[in-house]
Amino acid sequence: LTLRAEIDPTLLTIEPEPSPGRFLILMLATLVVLAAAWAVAAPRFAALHYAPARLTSPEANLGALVKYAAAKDRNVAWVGSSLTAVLSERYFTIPGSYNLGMSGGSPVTALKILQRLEPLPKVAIVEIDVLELPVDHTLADRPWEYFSQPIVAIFANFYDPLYLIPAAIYYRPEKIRSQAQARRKALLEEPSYYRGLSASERAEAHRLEAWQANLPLEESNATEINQIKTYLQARGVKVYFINLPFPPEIQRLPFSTVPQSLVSKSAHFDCDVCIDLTRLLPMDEMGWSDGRHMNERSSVMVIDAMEKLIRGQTSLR
Amino acid sequence: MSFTSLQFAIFVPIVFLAYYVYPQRTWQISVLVASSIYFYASDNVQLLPVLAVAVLATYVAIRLAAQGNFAGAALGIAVNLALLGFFKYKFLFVDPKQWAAGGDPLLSYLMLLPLPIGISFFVFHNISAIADYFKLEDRRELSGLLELNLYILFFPQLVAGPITRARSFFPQIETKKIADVQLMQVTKLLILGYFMKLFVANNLNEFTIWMSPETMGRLGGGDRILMIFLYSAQIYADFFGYSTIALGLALLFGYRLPVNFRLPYLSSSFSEFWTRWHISLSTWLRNYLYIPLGGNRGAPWQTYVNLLIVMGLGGLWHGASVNYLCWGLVHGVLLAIERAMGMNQPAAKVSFRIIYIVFRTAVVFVAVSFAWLLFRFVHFEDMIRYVSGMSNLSLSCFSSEIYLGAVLCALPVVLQHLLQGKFRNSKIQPFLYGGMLALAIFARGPDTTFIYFRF
Repeated sequence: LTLRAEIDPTLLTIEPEPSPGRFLILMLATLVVLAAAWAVAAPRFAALHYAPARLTSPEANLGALVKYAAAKDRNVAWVGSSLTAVLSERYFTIPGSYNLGMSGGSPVTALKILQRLEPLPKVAIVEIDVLELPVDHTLADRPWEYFSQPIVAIFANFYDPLYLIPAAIYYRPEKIRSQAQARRKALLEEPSYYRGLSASERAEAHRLEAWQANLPLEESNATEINQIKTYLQARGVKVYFINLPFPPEIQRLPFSTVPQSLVSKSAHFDCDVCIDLTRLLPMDEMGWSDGRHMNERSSVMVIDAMEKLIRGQTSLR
Repeated sequence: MSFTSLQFAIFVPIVFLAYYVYPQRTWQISVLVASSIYFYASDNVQLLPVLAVAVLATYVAIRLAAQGNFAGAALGIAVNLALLGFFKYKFLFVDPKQWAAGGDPLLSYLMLLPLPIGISFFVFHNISAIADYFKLEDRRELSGLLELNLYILFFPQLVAGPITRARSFFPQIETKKIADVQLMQVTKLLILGYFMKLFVANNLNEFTIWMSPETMGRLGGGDRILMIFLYSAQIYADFFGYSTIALGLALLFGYRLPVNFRLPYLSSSFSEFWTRWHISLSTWLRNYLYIPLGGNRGAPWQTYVNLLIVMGLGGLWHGASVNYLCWGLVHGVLLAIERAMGMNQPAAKVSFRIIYIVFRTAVVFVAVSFAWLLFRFVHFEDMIRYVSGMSNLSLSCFSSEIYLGAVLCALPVVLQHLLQGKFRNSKIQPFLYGGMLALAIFARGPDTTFIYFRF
């Protein structure tokens, strides 16, 4: 053995370099052309309203907020937690409807942003099922006002070019609108297939039995929601509080009852803004993809119920 | 400091300029050692003494080893293994809360120090140095403390390898000139590495993050199976990406590191898989553990036992957890069964040879992918819950465009394996690398730590 003469076949092989200058120029030119193509194509195909969301919480939340901040036609803002996030925007029929459900987050985060951005929406639907999570200040404190500027809106689309191709296939606005509405109709007409609790719902119910309220944080969030609600109402926004339904086993647990009671005890509470969805929905037909989040059909039923209510009570811009 | 951080993007050009501004051997080694210490201390300043102890113990040991002092070499290896054992495996035997509560302040402080990043890698470097020097024939080749520091601390390989053998690294320590930098190859390696990490691995993490005890309830059986293959692609892209960036960075400073991957999912046997996956680790284990244990020179049963020992320890090397041990043992068992059936050799005389090889490759890929579940889930009950939910084949969790997104993310891994470097000398290379760079910049996934950083 000698360290000096050792030749290791596993070491990286050096490749000859014929023309690094030409290679680098062509490579950078490709980069520039692709960047420009994205800048043009993203707003066309991944049109703001129809761009699919990312899967994990931070990116999904960011994407939802970017879309909202860049939008001009704000009619209805759905605010809440991941329970709201599963209400797919493609099933909204009221133009200018946006889903600001914060997966793994607090509804207060989106409300804080919503109250800063002009124009305010005509209607704000605030889901108050999850109050146990703190405000995400890294999201809430971003300069969202600038996203309404056209140049920023273009670059906001860069956020998700990965989905440009799926978006180009699935999300041509005129195509997706008709497809989604057809599916929505079919889902609403579908007979109920929910038959008691599934194994995952039972497991979730069992897990949530051990849930303990973080009362100081929940009270603080409830108070803040009410304060923002008061501000929004003073600015002419119609605000609704909703509790999205849980499976019966979870509905009666403190996980579900504590947030409801907190909001109703907070200052500035106005009974008129609380919508009892159990009176608007056929509860025996509801279903969940897990113990907490509604399945697609139930999501459509909630959207349908709320949109009917809004149309009956509010004149939209 | 992560390879994907802004801090690192500023750090590298500064080191590069300082390194080549004065092309003199001692200066260049000093620049790399100082910058590597800064690189490590930026996240782990309180753990620098651990690194110092490891380097000094290794230095003393190689001086003794080079004189043929077996006891000195063994002590050096023991100190390194003790460091690894103390920091990585102590909580297998003691309760951390007990130490947090009180007792001797110094011991409590030591017990509660975090796991030094990269300890598994630099300990293996140190052992390699001691072992190689012990076998040294020409004592004049003995390197100084500065060179040893460079070998152990060299920042491209410090936290997650590749594990370079001392005998391969030390001969490369010499004066480097900027004119000798392989600019195009460095560029290609860095782009490929960052593309695999930022675009492929980070975006795939968006899907595989659902393979967790909290969220798996929403996944249908089809989703679960798909996630396993996506995780296979992710863990490969993540580690291949890291290793390729490390190769590019090292080459920027004139050093060649070992290649860590050679299209591992094309392996048609498990033994072949281990010559293609994490090659620097498997080579290390073979040279410093398997062969000293007797390798395959004894009776078949001795070979099988050796395989189980090596793979079990290789599994434990990844983490102080039973799941890693089991992951290693599963591979050990597969290797042993394969050897017993004589299937560790290439299929030569079989009719329909291509079909047979494709079938074997598929079997190996599926088995390796399912074995990753032991990597993914720390607790067995979670893994069993995950597997038991595969009874139906429904893709029920996401909408169709999300699945298309997942396939697009994994596609580069598939293409890389299927094309097998067909575009290596093609004229379309600049456009391919331009496209990869664009995707790495504009379509990168949310930032996630390199999977192998935790080892």
